[in-house]
Amino acid sequence: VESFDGFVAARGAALLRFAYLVSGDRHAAEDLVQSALAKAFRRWSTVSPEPRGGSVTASPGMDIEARGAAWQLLATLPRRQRAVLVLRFYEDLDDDAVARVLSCSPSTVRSNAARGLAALRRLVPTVDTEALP
Amino acid sequence: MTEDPAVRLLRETLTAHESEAPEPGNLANAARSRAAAAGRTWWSGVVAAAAVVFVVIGIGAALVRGGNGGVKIGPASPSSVAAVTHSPAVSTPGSAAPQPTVDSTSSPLWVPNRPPPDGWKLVSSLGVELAVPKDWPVVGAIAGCDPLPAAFVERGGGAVAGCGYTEPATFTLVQIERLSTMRVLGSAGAPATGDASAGRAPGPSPSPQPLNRLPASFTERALADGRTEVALSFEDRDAVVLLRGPDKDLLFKVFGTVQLADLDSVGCPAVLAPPPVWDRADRGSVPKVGIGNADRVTVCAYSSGPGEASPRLAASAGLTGSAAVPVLKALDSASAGRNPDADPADCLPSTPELSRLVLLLHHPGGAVDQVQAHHDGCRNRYVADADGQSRVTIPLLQAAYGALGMGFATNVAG
Repeated sequence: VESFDGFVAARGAALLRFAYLVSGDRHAAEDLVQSALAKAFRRWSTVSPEPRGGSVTASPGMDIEARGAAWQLLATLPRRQRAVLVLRFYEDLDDDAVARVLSCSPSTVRSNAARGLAALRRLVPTVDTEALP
Repeated sequence: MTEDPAVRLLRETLTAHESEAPEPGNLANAARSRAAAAGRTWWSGVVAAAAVVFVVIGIGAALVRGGNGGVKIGPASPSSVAAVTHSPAVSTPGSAAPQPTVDSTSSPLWVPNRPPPDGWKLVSSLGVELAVPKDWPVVGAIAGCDPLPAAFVERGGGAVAGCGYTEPATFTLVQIERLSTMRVLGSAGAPATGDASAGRAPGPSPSPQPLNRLPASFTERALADGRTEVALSFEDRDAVVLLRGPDKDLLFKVFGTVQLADLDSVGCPAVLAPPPVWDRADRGSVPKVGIGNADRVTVCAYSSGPGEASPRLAASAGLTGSAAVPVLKALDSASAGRNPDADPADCLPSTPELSRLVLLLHHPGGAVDQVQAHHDGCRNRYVADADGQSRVTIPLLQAAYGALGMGFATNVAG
């Protein structure tokens, strides 16, 4: 069983990244993570952190302009939708796990993910199929 | 399989921006300082999750929750609340039911005596009881992504907004909460939109007046979205009833049902009584807790707030028929003895027991057996009655807290 300090050392940076990606605000991310950890600390005897999976690695591919547009679009999404996208595709949680985190049904997770991806899809650089041989 | 280009774009975008997140610094110490300050982290409530998810929930909840403003409690409207006084010699069925911790030499015992209107139900918390339409959900924590119902009652744990929400102008909220909590959160009387500049009409100046021998105060405000918000605070009880919704007549109908309840309508004392002599961890060799022929269960959930001498009733429910079965079945299935203590390396010896369940098992002949369930903390977890002791189990906690619409926190296994 992990100690509080050990947990924070292992997961603090990831929590900050998660909070930042969901909120889009550095100060809010710091504040919220501290607040959440304080809550966890008070109840540490009742918290059993689960082992985490591997980290996400990204391969460069999409152009920087598309990523910039996507980041801007993320900021405009409803918070629930943005949280679903970050948990599902950044934290790599499956639908059931995202649903547990957000206290909603897996179908709600899927519908939010679908809506968010549909919005993003409009930004994906399109291939000019007519130009293909 | 080729990855969806939109998913790929999303992953790359998020990864490209992750480096902009703040550095961790000494997060652990910062968190400890906040915990010691007993600020909003204490009050924001806990929807139990024994995992890293617990932490993430806290973050997600805070991220998506709207902001709140302040509150001012004004002159009382004594006619809007009724309560009756009884002598402390409350007649409670059976011999082992807990009695309220009321000083009979100085305090009257308040017991609600008015039934709910037809089609309504009673809801109790923190020594206050009120009635709402039967179809209104009663929850201990706001936690969900699904659309808000038209109305709900929140009591027993404070709000954790799992996905966040903005209250629509059609939404009705009834909330029973510690007054001190509301002040810490700054949420009593706050604009429903979370916008402090939402432009509500100015409220009356604070001037608490006696209400049925208790100091209580009342405010009514018009919210910017057209709804009305009314609040009734009981300073002596550290309790507040807050209502806001579009139908002012309905709000005042609910408001008119508010009663004080040192012992509520299902038989739960507002303050947890001192433990019976048999309620101790080291019982030696005793049988498991028996349910006999019990066919009804009263569930009383208690929580402790900062500075409170005794745990206070967070939520209660009277379970009959099939609703009582899961609790009785879980209780009957538990093994004798107490739960093993958690690893001392992860116990915080200074952490007090913050929540407790008391179950009243009602038998057809009228007898009532009291059961104490200690599930909080990392040691001394057990279920006990006058004759026996059993382990606390997750199915029992799920059944009991589920009936209350509350989350719970525990690290007992199985």
